[in-house]
Amino acid sequence: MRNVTALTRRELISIFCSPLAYVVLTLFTAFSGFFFFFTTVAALKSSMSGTFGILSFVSLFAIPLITMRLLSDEYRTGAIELLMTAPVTDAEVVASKFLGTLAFYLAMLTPTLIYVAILRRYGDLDLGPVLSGYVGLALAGCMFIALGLFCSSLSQNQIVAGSTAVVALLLIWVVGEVGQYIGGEFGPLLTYAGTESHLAAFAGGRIPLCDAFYFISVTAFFLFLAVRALESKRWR
Amino acid sequence: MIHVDRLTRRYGATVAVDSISFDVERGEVVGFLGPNGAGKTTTMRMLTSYLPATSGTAAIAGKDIFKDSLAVRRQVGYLPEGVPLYNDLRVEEYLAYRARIKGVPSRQVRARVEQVMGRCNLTELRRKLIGVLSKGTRQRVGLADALVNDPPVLILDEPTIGLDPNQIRQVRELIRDLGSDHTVLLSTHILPEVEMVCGRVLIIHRGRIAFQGRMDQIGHQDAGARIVAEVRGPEPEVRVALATLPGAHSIQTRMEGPFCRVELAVDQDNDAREELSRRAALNGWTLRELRREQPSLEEIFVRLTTQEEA
Repeated sequence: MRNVTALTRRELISIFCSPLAYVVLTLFTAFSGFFFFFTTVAALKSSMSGTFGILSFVSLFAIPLITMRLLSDEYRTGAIELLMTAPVTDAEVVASKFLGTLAFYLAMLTPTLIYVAILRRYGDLDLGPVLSGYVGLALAGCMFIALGLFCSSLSQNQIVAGSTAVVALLLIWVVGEVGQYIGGEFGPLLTYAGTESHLAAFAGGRIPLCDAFYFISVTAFFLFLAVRALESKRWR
Repeated sequence: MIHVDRLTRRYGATVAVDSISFDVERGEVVGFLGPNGAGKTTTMRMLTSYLPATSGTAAIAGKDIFKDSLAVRRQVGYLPEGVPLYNDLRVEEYLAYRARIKGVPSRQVRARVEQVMGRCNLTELRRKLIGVLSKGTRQRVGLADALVNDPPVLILDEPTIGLDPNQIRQVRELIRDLGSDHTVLLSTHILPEVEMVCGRVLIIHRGRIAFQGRMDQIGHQDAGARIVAEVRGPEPEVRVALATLPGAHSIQTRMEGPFCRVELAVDQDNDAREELSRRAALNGWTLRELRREQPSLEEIFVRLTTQEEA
């Protein structure tokens, strides 16, 4: 645990010292503000649900920009050698990279609380769905980060790691959409596999355990794969 | 302290390290030499459990490098080739981070970092970003990192590369210093460095150990010794007179002004200098130089690593 704390701290320094982090933060905030205006303010709705949908979709692109360097950069610079010869386990390394990015992601979501404040002040906002919506966003973020981290564990090229993650995340997203259109036997299966239906379930003001389980299990799965991929680096 | 038993590493069909065995005792500084690509770095990576061995075993401080990898990593300070550090951290931040993940108790982290920065001359550079440091300074940060948890075993891959002559001196002194209570295995291409710092030497060639021995026994290898003399006399006669010296294998002569320079290869245990001077005196030649040379580490190195395989 001590190791994870030290490693996470270094991860946070790295993220917050890189200009890319601020570019991502700015773009994310700008996009979310833009869509908040159109889906909520201009539409005269007093609900965050439209904004949440957009935020999760923008995260599909924003998170891989942060995760792509996590392990790829260690491989490219060779710093992985010092990391893997230090008395820390591969799981600790992966866990700390995950936690560091998660902290950044939560920081990225923080400015959106302004929208909540605006709606509270000028509209009639029910806080229940807002709370559950944020939980949903955080859980979806965990899954996106885990997948991005796994992609980063495969390649020493950041661009490859980043684009693989975006494509994979989009694919998982789209699969759900497709499922809704084709119906029949496979429709519900595809819908279940996709991200969107699970996220939508968080809009109602309750925490749907089933859908939370989806995000948690996919996160755990990709973190596990990332640990394996990191271990396998030793054998090559 | 370090026990290596038939350690082997293959990359596909190529054998990088071929069944090498050696031991390093506590308090020894051992130089690990070999041409580029001989397998030095691969061996060091296996010992630090970065790379798994294809076969064979090794143990550091009694812990198996494969089965007890974390324990081994706690015992070893490692300076890898090329010193890959995080460029976005400051020197003291980096060292504190490394101290923490190496298990230095939180309360001692500051003190340990101060101590190694002092030892490696980094105190004034503590607030610098690692990314802006020169190669030599990075090297010293890497060394400070290796020392930060005061591990009993140090594995240093070319510790003095990229340093200026003053820094090289400091680092050598540091290593010699460490040698009194640490076990050090260091690789280098600078042979005089080995002669200065190391008590023992291992030469590896094509993945095999070509030579191992104590530095003070280097001369007693089968290489034989050499006698160099400069005699004031005509070359042909000097050749005839000296080629028959007891224990001489071969003679080379060359005129330098009025002097004839003679190089004799002789047996290891034979010192023909006295006889040489007697013969010169008999012929009425005066001597300008007369000395006996033991083969240097460099000669041994070159001889062992350039010969073609039979």
